[in-house]
Amino acid sequence: MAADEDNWLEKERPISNQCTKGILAFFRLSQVIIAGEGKQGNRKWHKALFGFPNIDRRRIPMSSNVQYWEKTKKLMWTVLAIWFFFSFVIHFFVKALNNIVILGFPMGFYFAAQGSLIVFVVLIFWYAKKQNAIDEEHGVSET
Amino acid sequence: MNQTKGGFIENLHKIYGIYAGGFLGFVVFLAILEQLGVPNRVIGYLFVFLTIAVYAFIGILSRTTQLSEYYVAGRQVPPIYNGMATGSDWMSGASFVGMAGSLYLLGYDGLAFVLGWTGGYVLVAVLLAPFLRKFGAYTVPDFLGTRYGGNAARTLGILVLFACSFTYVTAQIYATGIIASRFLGMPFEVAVFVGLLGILVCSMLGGMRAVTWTQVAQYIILIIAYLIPVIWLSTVNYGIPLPQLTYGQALQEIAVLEQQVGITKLHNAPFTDYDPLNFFSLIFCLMLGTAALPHILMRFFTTPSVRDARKSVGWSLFFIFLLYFTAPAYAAFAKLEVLKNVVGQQIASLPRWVDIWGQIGLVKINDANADGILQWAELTINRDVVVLATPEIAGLPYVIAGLVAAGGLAAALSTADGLLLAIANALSHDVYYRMVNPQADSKKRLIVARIILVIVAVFAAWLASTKPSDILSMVAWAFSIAASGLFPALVLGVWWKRTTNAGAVAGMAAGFAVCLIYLLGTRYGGMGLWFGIKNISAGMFGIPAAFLTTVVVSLMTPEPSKEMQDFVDQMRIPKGDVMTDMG
Repeated sequence: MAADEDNWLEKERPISNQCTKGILAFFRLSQVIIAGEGKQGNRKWHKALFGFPNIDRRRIPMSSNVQYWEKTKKLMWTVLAIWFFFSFVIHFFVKALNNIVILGFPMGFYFAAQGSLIVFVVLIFWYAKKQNAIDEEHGVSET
Repeated sequence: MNQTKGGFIENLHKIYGIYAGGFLGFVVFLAILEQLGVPNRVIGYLFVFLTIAVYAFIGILSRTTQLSEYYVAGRQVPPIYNGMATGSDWMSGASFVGMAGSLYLLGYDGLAFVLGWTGGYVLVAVLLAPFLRKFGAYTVPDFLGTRYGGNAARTLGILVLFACSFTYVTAQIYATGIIASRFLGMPFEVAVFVGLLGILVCSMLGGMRAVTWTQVAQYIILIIAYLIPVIWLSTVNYGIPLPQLTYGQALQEIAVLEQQVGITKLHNAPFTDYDPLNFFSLIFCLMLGTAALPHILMRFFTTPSVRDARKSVGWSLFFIFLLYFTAPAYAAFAKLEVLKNVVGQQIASLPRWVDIWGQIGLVKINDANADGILQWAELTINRDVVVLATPEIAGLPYVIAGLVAAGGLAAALSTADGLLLAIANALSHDVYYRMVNPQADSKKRLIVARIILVIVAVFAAWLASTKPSDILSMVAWAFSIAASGLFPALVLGVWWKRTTNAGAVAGMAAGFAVCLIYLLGTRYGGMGLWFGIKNISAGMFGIPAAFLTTVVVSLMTPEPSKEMQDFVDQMRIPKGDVMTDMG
């Protein structure tokens, strides 16, 4: 009975699940190759290929300053992504957005004239707050 | 003020609150004088001379004999006030007078300037300001010289700084001359030197400290002057004193009228003047240029801490935003007025303002089909008219026109102050002290700094008085030049430890050269456009060239010394003192 149940599971597994499994396997593989995770044996030829040994970075205890800089970099990329979106990407769709009109403003026009600007102002204050919190967490703030 | 410095900083809100109130009272007082029959010319004189007198007063009070006060205002400017100072440092005579006019003429496509001149501050906040503040430089080339070990990087930095700042400062002095001559009725050549005096009294005695506190005062005047006429217009037309909200309705009315009149280049329609490639290239170059302009970056050297430097960029953009998000409203109201009350009228019975500005050639009417009725295509409006004529369009008393002139003057003077200081400080600190005479004591350095400041200012004023049309049209180049020559070296210097001296020097030279070749080649050399990218966005080629060269050459040269890598690590954390000793 138990064996049958296993079989049934094997047969009737929905297609979407298999896709997910495939995608996960792909990510795992690229993780193994790029980040150099996995078996010891990989190390040698990882080093030959990429010029640095494959060491799982998560397993090395990082000094506080290194962690601090990792977090700072992550925040930097997040802010730049938002900046890029509101500087460029959203304005690619100006013609479509112009069909939406709120308070007389066609939205495509509005975002270039006001919307993106408001985002920029808020974004800088948000960044300052986040970065200050990271400073304090790692004991590198000024006070 | 030297003795009561602590008291001054603590009481900033009170002092500038009283000042702003006093200025509004002054405007009301002049309005009453006008009603009593005092002639317009006298009101114009009072506006110009009293505001310049206030700036001079602040400049003299802030005189200093200390190096750190002269170069970085003693590093004690609170973030919100540094924000205001940066706002007026940033917004030039052209932003104040010409921005709304550009939007009137270009419609949606003009918004590339609004976006480009604001979004760059995000890059300043995240990539540069806090780190440069921690480093503790007096000037931008000083950072380059220290990080990239030597005079090659420093000299290139000074060259790029000079290339982007000098044409810019000449244009500001030119703008003060135009405004002063228009409202004081004196010859342009004389007015330029009156403007020069207005600039020198603010900066010469007190350096950065004096410029900071006058720029705050100038910001208050320019923002009041910019907002009052358009708030009035919004209240009259739509009953709500929030032009930034109500101009949506104006946009709708414009769209209807445009159809009736048969205009094909619609105000809201994108990509009528610029194709998408040029629109986005322009935004990109303006943003990266903003983040690399030395007179802006050096403002963030003056905050008390790294933390304050970050916040201060936010305040700067907030104060700039107040003007820039109002400019499209100006443009919309002006366009609506023209479509409603000017186009389609008998030429003999046009509104009075058309006549006033027509007399000095800023509004031109050409009845091409000689039917006595004005068509849209028969009217040419100079971009400066939109802001300058709004008081008359709204039927406001002359005192508001005087106020707008005082605002434009404040915008031009404050930007000129900042630019002049950036150039003169690079010459006195980087060239004289760092390269020529490192043994000079602080007294001597201050004297040299002041002499150089006066020489640069007089030279720029002389150049402006010759009305050099070529130089004036080169101002827009400053952004591409700064973005190509400085941005990659500055950003990689902080964010990529592996950047070597040779890499940075080669990158700066390559970026600067590519940008200049494209600018000069397409303008004077008969060179064709590459990929159709307009001259103003030359940075599209200079920036990648600089990044690529820096990275490739850095990888080919041995990595920076352990000391330099530790130095960069130190710069990346806020904790600890500033890292350079200026003696």
